[in-house]
Amino acid sequence: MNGVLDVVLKNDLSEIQRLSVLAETFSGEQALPSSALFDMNLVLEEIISNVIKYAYNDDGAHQIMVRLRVHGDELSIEVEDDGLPFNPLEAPTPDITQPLEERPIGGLGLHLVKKIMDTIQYSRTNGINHLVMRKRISGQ
Amino acid sequence: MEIKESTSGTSEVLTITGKIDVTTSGQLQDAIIAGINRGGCDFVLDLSGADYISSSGLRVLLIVIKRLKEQGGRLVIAAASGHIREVFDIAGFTPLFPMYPTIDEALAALADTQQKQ
Repeated sequence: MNGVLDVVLKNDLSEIQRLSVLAETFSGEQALPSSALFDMNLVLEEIISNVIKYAYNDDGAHQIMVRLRVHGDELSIEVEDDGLPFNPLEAPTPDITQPLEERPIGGLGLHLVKKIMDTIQYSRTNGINHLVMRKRISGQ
Repeated sequence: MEIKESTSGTSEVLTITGKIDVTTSGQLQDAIIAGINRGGCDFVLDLSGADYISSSGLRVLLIVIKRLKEQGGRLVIAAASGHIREVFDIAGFTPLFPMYPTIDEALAALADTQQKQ
């Protein structure tokens, strides 16, 4: 399995559905197991919805670059945006053992991403956030 | 995503088809809150036709379960896929939402605990 899909998104939440359709086609072409497609869609939604909701302090149009790559048994997901600096690795880890009454609403998206992906690298260069997430593909 | 609503005894069943994501989770919240406002107390979320949930869907479930608990209500999950159960596990939601393999088992569990109350 070797392949690359590049997608340029607008900063509009409806773009996540378009990306999901493209990711499903890519997954089919690469013969990825259903678990890899599920994880890919989840990670893309969590990261990109975060960017769209929180990265921009203007009302202007922005582009978000996504690259999906399969190389052997590794899936990599790269996301670039020109929003405010934000390192997901520094996001607080939620306490998922709290009783219901004490659970805060929200804050689970990046936790899911960190648990699902094997490695996450963040860098910021020339005003661009660059995130690379990798996972070994296995199972169904 | 599609939501079909039905009642069984004193429980409301919401059958979800499709994806519970950032663009659809608001519909789910509206449907459950409408059920609560109609006087609904016990809810079964039938996920047999749902193939995806993100943190946006988890957020909605946490909002509604907090509200239901304040009112003495309950929400249980039926027929969730392995992928969805894994998301619940990672998020620490499994202890908060009883899960049953089928709607019938979910309804039976709610009816059984009602009788014991």
